[in-house]
Amino acid sequence: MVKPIKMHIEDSLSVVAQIEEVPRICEWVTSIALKVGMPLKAVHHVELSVDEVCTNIVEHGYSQNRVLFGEQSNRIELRCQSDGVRFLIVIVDDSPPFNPLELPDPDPSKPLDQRPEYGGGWGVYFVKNLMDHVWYDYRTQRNYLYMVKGI
Amino acid sequence: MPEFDIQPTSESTLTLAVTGRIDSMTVTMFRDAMQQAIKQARNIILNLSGVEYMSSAGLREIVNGFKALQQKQGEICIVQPTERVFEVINMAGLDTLLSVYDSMEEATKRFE
Repeated sequence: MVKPIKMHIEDSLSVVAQIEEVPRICEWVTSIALKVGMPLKAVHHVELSVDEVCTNIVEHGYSQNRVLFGEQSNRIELRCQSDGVRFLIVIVDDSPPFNPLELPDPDPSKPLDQRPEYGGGWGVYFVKNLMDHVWYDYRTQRNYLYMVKGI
Repeated sequence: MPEFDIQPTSESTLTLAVTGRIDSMTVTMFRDAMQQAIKQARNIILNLSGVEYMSSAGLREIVNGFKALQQKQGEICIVQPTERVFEVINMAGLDTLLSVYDSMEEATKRFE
């Protein structure tokens, strides 16, 4: 386990897991990333990574729950911390256990006509490529995805 | 919300210029615009100079657009992607598998 980051900034957000909330999540994380002094390119990497993870939680993680209990019952929690050197984002959800980091990486050299219509895991691939460290944990019946990016 | 402008470039080619943000929430609008353009043309010049943000959702529609046009022996090319959008298409290998142009002039020549 990575040592907890000594925090200078800490913030959290909890939203209903629906696609309309994802841009709000992106705005929130972008504003904090800017506040901690990240360069614009890194802010984009954070925004894209958070967008991709939250979209997957809404579209795949909670897809079954949505049918059974309705959309309002599903939530995504985000926590951000920074020590001025690194930026940590934790994304928590209550959907069935799923480690997105175990998905096989798509192949960027694969001809376009052979790529699947539904996409094929590019979102998680971007997260792995754009973040410095990413890890997953499942505990107390919750999915935790940790992402760290240097400032 | 993103905006879409479809203009004829030549007899078989349309330019689809997109402005705004393409993400999982707005991607259905992008898909509709692509499908509308694909119906009317064999080749599409996708002008992304006004797109400030694109996630993998947009990428997926570009690939699906490529496939649909390939069935018509047509092509899709990308023009003036912003730095952020280029980074996304580069990570997914689209910059080597599709033609990406720095100007509309170059792209238009491709389909003359």
